[in-house]
Amino acid sequence: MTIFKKPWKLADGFLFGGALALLGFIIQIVAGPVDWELIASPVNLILLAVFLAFVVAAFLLKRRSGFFAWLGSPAAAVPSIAWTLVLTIIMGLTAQVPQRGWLGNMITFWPFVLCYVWLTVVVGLVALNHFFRLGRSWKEIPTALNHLGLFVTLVCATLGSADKRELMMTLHEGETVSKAETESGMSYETGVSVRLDDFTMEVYPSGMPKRFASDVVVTGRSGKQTTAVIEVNKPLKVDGWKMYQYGYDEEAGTESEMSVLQMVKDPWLPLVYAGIFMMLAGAFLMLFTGFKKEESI
Amino acid sequence: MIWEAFIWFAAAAVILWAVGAALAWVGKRSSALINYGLGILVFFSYILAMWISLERPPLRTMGETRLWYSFFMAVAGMIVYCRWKYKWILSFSTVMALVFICVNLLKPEIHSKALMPALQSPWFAPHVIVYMFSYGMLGAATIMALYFLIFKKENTTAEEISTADNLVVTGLAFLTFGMLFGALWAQEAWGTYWAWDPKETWAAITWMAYMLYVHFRIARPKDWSTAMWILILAFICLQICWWGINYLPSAHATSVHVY
Repeated sequence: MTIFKKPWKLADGFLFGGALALLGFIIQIVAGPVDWELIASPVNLILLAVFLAFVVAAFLLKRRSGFFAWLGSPAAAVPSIAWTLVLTIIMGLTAQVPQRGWLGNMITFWPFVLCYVWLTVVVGLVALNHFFRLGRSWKEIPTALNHLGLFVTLVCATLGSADKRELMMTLHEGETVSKAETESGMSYETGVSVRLDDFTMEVYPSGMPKRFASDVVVTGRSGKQTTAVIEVNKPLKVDGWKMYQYGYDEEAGTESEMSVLQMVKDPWLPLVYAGIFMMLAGAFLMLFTGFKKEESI
Repeated sequence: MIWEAFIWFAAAAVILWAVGAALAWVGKRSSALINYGLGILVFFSYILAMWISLERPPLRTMGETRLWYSFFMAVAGMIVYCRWKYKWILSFSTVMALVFICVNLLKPEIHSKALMPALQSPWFAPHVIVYMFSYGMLGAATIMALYFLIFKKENTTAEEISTADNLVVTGLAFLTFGMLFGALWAQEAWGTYWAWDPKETWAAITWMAYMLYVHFRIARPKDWSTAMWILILAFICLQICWWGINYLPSAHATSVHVY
């Protein structure tokens, strides 16, 4: 068997994945693990532009370059899924605690990240391929939606992760608070002031918690007041923040007069949702089109 | 308690399924379908009775999810039989459903009315039910893979393989619903749609393993035996995701999904 003889086949793809993992390993040794904090806005916007430009260029070059033609073909899809699968299985078998070294913190492990990037490029190219074939048959729609949805979700979830804020706001009954703390204990002014009027905890006769709820009055930046009950699974949205019932004084239990709200702001979330809904629509339509055999490569 | 009645409902359902499966072997299609369908109805009426008596959907404990699995396994078998007329499929789906019924009889789990706050969500029932339906479909696909690899070997026809393809595509669509409903729910419950919790990681692994099958079938349509092996490996990943994870030391310490 000739290796890397054009056009590339499955075996070449598996070798390519191996080379990519090895490259990641070298980067890991030289530069250390991926530091996701570094890509916070505006770096992620630049990365997004570069990445999209690369995918579009690869798509346009596919007729001229065997490599780019291969990158958007099933012969690249199979090995890219297989390599990503293997690395994710390793993640699933290793306890994800950073003290355990590289494998204990898989999302910062370069071979893992590079394989996901490769997979994302393949998914993006396949999405473009199918979009330009939409005219041929409506049966292209689910495949196009699935791939585009997955592409948008992967790209925006990853690039957006550094812009996401997660804060904890500790409230005592009767007090008004507008500051919240990051995980590392840094205090942060949210611009939203919250007064806790009452915290309620109900339990089942067995002692198992049944309901946690915080009665709050929230004043947004514009001065508008909202009275609301925040419960588990029933968050409140104010000024771009989402506020979740998170904790309470566990020693006091049902008598707790303290409540912890989690405040989340994720500017990329609408894009991730757009991707998720495209995948849902694609999966739904796939039920009607069934399994379609592609023209062989 | 209603749980004591389970053995009677289960026995009635399994007898009806077995009669249906036997009738399928001798080619009596309509009586096979009637018996098998009645078995499904009996089994589902037990699930309904449980739902009413618990005053919540019976989806919380492992034992409760096994009920749905047995149910959907039988449903998947019946769909395949209706559509593709394989006379052996009802026997296999009955055996598979029976295995999980026996697990429930031997390892009953306390079915209390309590539902912790995180599970009190409109997403709870659809999330678990679409997953169990998907597991049923993919279980049926696995039965076909084993049948082709062990019994049919070289005699496997392209049409038979395409049945497995269609089961996988249906299962995979529902797997996608289950996973994404989970993400939407997690976003509503704690503000993170994806946190690489071990259950989520294994859900992604399972999803990717079936994706591997679908794309391998496109890349190498003639190499069906490798594809069937991928299907079996994918089903192992699915079992780890569903219940095996409770026995994985890597997951036990850190997952919010251990139940």
